[in-house]
Amino acid sequence: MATRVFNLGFIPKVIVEVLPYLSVTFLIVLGTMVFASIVGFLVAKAKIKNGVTRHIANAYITVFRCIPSIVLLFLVYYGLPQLFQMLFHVDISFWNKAVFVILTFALLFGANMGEVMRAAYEAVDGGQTEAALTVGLTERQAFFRITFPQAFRYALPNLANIITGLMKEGALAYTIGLIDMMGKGKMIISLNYGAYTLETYLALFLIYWVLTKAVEISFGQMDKRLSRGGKTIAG
Amino acid sequence: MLELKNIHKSFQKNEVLKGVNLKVEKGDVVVILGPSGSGKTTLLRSITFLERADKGEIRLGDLVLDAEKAGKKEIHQIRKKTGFVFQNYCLFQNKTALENVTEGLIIGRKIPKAEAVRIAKEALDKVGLSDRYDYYPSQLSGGQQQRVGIARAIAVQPEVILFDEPTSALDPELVSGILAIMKQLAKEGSTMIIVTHEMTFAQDVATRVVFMDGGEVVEEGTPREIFSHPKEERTRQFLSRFISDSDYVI
Repeated sequence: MATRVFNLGFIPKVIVEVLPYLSVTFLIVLGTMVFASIVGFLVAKAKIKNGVTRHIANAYITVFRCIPSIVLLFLVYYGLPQLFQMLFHVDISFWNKAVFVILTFALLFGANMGEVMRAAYEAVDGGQTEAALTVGLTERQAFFRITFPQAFRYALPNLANIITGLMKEGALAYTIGLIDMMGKGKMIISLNYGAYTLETYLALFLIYWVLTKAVEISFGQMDKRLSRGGKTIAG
Repeated sequence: MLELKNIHKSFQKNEVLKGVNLKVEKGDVVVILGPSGSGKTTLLRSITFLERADKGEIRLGDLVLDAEKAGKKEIHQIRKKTGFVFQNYCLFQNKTALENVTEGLIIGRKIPKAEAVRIAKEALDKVGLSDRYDYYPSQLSGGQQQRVGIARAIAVQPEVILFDEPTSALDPELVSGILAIMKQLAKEGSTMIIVTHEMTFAQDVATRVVFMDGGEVVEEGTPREIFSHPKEERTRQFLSRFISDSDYVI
């Protein structure tokens, strides 16, 4: 088979075709972050409280840290509908694929989020909470006014890592047929009978690179803005 | 005015307070002395429920709290009547010196902001920080941070101010400044309970000295009684260590 000449001009074409699907990628990242934060919050709380729930949280973290994302994605996508069918006689297999993707990544990244939140919380000196209580704040006020703003800043660099990681892992969603940027790229490749494979992947690489850089920069900015009263953490 | 009755506290199986009684009158400056692990700090912390005692009664003014049963509301009330100065300052790192002081006034006591700022500035001026209102704790020296800590505690006009080893974390040359502020507060008639190892300060400023060891009050009296004529052997032993220490200094 004769090899075709690499066509640089095809890359912008791919980018234009793929970019509309950025919204899908955003949806996945946003949805996952919301649910992963909820999961993470529960995990962090359980680990800080030091009760029986702590063991459950630890077990959860251990299990989900060890599952490759693609394995869990298939388990959730193919397994969950069967489970629902069996238990509740409800067919959920027609649900939007994004639901399964978000669920998968929320479970996976929830474990990481939990650890990030716990570490950030513990990085804030507990004496400040006590001091807040002694000047008449309630526990809730002490948490939201004193501990949380500081913990949030400590968590920023790790949050940026989680978001960029999630964005890139999210590209796996195409494997269950969700059309995000990666899925669209795959379609372009098939439509051209594999002719522009390299150009398409390069275009995708460029988009993901810009996205990752954008997250990095905006988190760096946020860190700077929040860093009054302390050192900046991100470089 | 403040009365602690039969305060018990254990951490796991370690009994830290074995039924402590303490009575403090308005204007008293009570210094609590004792070797480390004697329960001084725990006693102080149990007054504001930073540590909840297992048993006992805490009276402050017309508030009477059962240490074991006191609810959130009662605890909140007693905290509003006390100021607490921490060994490690425990300033809010995300707030300026001024905000550290106004926080308790605005959020804890619902004082209007303008009024709170006025009170806070007054408190900061008093501890000699009139030029540091907008500095964050990380921009202040240890001594300055502890001054903010004291300003934060006195701004709320507490009925009693509790000091938990306020100078222990400071460089030696910064200690005297803090002690001078505390002496001034005592002169103005503030009621204070102070856990400290500063013997000279205790002799100069205290109206009463309480010696604790092994989770109980061993002896209490005027500074003269405790320092010159201690009745108990344990008090004598404890003080002799400090006296021999000061021989080196001289």
